[in-house]
Amino acid sequence: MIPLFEKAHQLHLTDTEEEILKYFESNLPSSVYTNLNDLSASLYTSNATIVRFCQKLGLKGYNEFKYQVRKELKQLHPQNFRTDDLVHHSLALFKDNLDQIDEKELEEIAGLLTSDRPIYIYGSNLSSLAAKYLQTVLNTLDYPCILVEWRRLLNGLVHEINSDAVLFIITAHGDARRYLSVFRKAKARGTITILLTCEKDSPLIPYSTFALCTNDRNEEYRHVDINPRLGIFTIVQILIELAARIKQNSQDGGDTFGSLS
Amino acid sequence: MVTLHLDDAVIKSLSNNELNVLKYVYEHSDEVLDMSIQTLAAQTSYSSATILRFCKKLGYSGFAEFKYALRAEGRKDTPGTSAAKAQNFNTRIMIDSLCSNVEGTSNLISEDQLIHTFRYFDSNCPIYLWAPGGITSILSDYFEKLLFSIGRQNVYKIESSKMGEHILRNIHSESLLILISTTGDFGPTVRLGKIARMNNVPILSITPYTNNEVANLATVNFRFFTNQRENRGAEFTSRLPVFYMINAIIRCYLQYKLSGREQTEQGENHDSII
Repeated sequence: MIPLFEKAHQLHLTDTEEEILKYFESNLPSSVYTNLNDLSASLYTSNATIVRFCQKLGLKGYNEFKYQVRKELKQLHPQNFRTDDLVHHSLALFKDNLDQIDEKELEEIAGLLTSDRPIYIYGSNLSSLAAKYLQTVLNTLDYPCILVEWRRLLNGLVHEINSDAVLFIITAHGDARRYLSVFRKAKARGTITILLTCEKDSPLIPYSTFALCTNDRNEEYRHVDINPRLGIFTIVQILIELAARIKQNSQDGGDTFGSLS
Repeated sequence: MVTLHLDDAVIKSLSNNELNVLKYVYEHSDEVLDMSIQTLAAQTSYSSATILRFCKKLGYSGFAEFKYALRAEGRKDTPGTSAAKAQNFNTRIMIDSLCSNVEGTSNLISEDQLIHTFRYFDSNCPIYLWAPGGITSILSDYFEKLLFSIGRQNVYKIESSKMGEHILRNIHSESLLILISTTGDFGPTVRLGKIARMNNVPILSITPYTNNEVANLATVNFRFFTNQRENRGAEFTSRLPVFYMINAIIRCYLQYKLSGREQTEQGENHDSII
């Protein structure tokens, strides 16, 4: 237990003060962020009562009390919830992902996406959002492309599409059972395939024309996929920027829109 | 030399003292980037409150954002003047700019905002997520899917503004409305925000760093950096900083839940990320 609370328990407290203490103990860690007005409202008491309680503990007021609890909490659980760390960690992952990209390859892919070839973009589950994002923005830039969100449709499609089509497939898990037949067929027919995945050992890679691999981690929480695919979104964004630049260069001088630098 | 986009109305709103600050910033833009608000106040012999007011009148939430904007403007100038046509060089600059937008956004996320948000997530109140259509709806989808995936129930996406108005008019005030706006001033989004405010429904918003209407309506507001762009009327402003922010919120919430549980059931097993 936090030393400050231990100290409080040894004091002679009124019923209301007991309640304040109980509230703090049972609602950690969020209770240390409650403001005075919210607290007094939810405990049906007055601000003055709460301040008096803090003063009984030898502190100047409510804010010092919160500060003290926070400090003691940190000392007690150094491994505990620290948002700064988490935010810095995800920023570090984001930067690592940028460092490992191959600019030349991405430029080549952007060239394909903005060519006159038919473009199919596939993604299912959470990857479908990345696919939809790429498709919507490319359409906005006047490079029409088709979004495919159903796996069976993709399976059928690969037998039918023109051989000059480009198949852009986003799959975080790079699952062979699901997609190997698609990639094999596409390769046999000479269709260009671009694979965007975060599984660097995906068996699909040897069958794809271009393979892009990000550093997202495939993790689960209670058996649900919680891979946020941020690296995938980053690659998609870079492709969009490159496509926008191609668009800008192709426009005849005069016309300008937003800076892309 | 840095140029800030100041229109007449903003300039007119500045007092003489604030105009002197502006002049100083123009003349010493490079040094200002490394100054703290106190140093700048000392250099210009004004109080830091004056500097802060100055930043706010320019549409920034504080001195840090103002400096960020200065820096972003400075970066924009360089490639233009050097006019380097080398493809690879440009690509690097573009990636750096993406990175600085995300980094700036990341620095704006504060623990207090997060904890405030988590209190809503923790209570089982219904969460209404407004999907305004177009690219921004993909962000709402992303937020919705991630909330589901970490086990937050009771999340409802609103896809039609008429339906949204209907829901918000009859809603219980113990709910949460999430508004995401890339400009901060999109009509239907502002409208829903106002209805929610009228009914005392708390609002969590994700908006750009500028002074904007949606942010002003919100109870908790997360801000991001981005450059607004469009192609003949169809906008394609980068959403990457927003994806980043949503992910950061969810990540922190998951960690917060796990650490909270650890405390209450000390010694017992808890769910862990595999």
